Amino acid sequence: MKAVLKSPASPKWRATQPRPFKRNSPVGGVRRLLNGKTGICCLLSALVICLPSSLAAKVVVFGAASLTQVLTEISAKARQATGLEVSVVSGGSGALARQIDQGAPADICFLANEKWMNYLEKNGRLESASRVDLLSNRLVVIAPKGAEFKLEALQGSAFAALFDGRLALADPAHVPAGIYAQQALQWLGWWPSLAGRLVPAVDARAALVYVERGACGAGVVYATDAASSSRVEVVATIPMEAHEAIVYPVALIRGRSGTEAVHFLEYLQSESAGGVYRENGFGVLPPKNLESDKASNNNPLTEGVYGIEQR
Amino acid sequence: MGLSSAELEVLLLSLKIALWCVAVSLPPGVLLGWLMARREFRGKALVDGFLHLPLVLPPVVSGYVLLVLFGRQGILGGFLEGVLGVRLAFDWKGAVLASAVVGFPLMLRAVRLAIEAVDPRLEQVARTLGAGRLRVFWSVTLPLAIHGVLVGSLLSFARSLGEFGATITFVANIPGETRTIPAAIYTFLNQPGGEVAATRLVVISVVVALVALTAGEWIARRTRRG
Amino acid sequence: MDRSAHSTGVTMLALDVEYALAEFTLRVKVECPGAATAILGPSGAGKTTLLNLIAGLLRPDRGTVRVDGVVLHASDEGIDLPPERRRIGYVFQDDLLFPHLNVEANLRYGYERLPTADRRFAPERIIDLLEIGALLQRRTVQLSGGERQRVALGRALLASPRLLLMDEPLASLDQGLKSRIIPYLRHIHSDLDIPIIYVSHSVAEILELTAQVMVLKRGQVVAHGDFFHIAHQPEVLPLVEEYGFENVLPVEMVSGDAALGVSLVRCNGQALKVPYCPRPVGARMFVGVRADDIILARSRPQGLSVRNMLEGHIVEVKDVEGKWLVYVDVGVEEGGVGRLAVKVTAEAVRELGLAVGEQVVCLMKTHSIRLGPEME
Repeated sequence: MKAVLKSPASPKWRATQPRPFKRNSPVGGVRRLLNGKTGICCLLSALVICLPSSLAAKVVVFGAASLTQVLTEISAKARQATGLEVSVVSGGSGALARQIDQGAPADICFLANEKWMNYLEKNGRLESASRVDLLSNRLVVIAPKGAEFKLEALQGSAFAALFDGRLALADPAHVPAGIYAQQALQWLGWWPSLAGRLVPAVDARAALVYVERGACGAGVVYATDAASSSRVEVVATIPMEAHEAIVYPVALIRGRSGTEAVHFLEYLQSESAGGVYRENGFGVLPPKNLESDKASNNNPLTEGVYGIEQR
Repeated sequence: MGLSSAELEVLLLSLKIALWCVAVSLPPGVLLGWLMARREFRGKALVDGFLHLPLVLPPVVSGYVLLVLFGRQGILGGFLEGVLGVRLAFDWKGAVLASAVVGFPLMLRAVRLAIEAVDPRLEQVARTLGAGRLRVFWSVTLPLAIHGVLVGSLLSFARSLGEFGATITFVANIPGETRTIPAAIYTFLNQPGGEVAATRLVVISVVVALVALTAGEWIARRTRRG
Repeated sequence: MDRSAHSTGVTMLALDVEYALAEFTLRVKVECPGAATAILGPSGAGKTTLLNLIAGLLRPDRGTVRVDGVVLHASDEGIDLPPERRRIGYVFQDDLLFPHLNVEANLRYGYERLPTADRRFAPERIIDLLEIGALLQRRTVQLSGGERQRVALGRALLASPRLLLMDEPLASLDQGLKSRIIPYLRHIHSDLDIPIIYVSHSVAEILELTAQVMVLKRGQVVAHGDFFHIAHQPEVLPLVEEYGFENVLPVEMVSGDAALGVSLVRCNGQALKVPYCPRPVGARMFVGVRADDIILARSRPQGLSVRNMLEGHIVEVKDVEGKWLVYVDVGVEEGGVGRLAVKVTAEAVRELGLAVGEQVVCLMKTHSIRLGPEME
């Protein structure tokens, strides 16, 4: 009978004998950790810790990625003012819209373009009466800080020749920021020379990061994005005629409009929220529907002690 | 069901990137697999953990690290572009790198296990017969471990076909350059009404994966030794 | 069997090495002449380690290894030839044939990379010698145990080694196979003129090949030299006892009768009947008898089936761990040990009055006598 892998007497054997799996890799250690009682206790405590916070959120807002900053600030203010708990979920407008369409537990959605809002409305997901076009934004051309190129004239200029490398923008195939950017580039006459030099990023934020890191020589992003970063400089502001109006609509989701949600929607349209928007570089659109001047009853957010005027 | 030219482009790009990913992963995978299987050295566990990092890090994080290192302004990216004229950022070659990095632990582990299963005494016998270390590796170790190399290649290939997070962070979603099947599916899903196109691509990628796995199984059976 | 040193008289192998193992440190300082040397020892003695040190698969902590005048390793001078340059063949207990190559490819593995000038043996010669011609195209899994070992031998030989190491190559084979392969080993030694170092547990196996023996115990060489001279040394005896070779006698073939199953041999004037063996008249060889298998009598008994009765006088009686060994001088001087060791009980010693100087008769059954190797 033949012996298999008989080990020679000497432990100093030059070749390595196969070692047990656990000694060499972290996986073995993790497995051992999760096997013991300590492991189970850790897992359970983690779950217990996570649970309450998700149950405590009263209002869930699905907001476009570019609104993350403002929504966070506004919900903090709301909590301070009235103790209302707001949970902000950020993402690409398209992804969020699809998730809402599939029944995601959002109370309010605040998106970066009309197309996706229309999609939700068409699918009957919105309280149509609550829909408001709330914010506007501008597009800017950015470059890494210190890149030093200034545009004198916009339309028709040889912009493509002014910078090295590629132009970062949100993916024009489906991201609102990218769609507007493409429209602008086409209007400015720069599209033909740049079409082969684009970097379609996951969203405007990613495009911003590419320019911040110098991976791209220039980029087209929202003015609000550019303002939030200290590592890029604005080379030019794109005229509003160059693209479709950048409109951020907000609405209540049908079937989920509890009182807190309604109150928060009102708060989003209030003056204190307005201050936050403007600070961050957004434009606040005047309300189209005069009916919204009528205050909703007993809204602690907009009436009462603090005397906040409702717009 | 015929393929539109756009779909064909996406498919061919994905296949090209996946094949290059395997080609690029094999030399370091085999070398490091041999090293980890046959050699002891101080800090080996640390090195092992480091090599397995891409397995546990979120792919987006891996992609971001690649961007920092290999982007135009990155430490290595600048060198590669300036000295060797090789550009990885926003190029299909960058997608190859992203796939290779993310799939490397799979290749490494498969190769290492296969080499560990080769009786080291066979290598010793070969040396007494006059074969130097390199010849021993080529003529004894590698042929006997070829099964693992195959499995590793297959895993790397399949991982590359499905690689999304690191790719899209490092080299974005450039049609014709880096818009692989997963990125294309993602794009379609983000367009209202893009479900049909997305589904077609899903079917294509499933078919490709099945073909690859079947082929791999067939080759593995032919090279298996009892 | 050639008991003298190799024809050139040059020391084939000179070892002076030290190597720390888990339980003890191996310290071997020895010079082996050419021809074949066997290494005998209990398991765990370090025999395999020693072979690995010679082959270069292990590096000694300190020392020198010289084969055929060539320095393979010298710690002080920093010389250390890697195994592939030492030209030392190695046959293991597990044949370790390459499973992914067929027999022919296995055989050629060491041969094809040799520069033509260094090739000592033609493949055909080795293949014929080992009778493996019919196996060439087979895959290694299709071979039997004996075939595999022959192929392993052939593979090692075709690499033209200057020294052949064998680590219990027959241990995993059954007795029938062993006795069929041993002739091949003898041919290798005699026809091909390759020095061999042969590690084994089995004294009988070793004695088929050579009488030069090195005994290793816990990493030390406790005896080295002609087996028949060292067999009764106190360190060696217990080992040898296990294998039934406490007693060896040089004899000369007188006649044989296959039908009766008996051969007659002469041992310094006294006749012995041994199991039949087809060797020519006048052939000289060794036979061995276990101490257990000898019966002592005060006089020649009648009517017993025992064929062999050797007369002699007691030269020593000693108690070895409860067993009593009686040494009887049967007048054999030349070539073998001068006395037979007989194991008896304490009671027998007392009852028969066995004491130094007493005359006794040693009775041995024909079949208790084991035939050893032929001498030249």
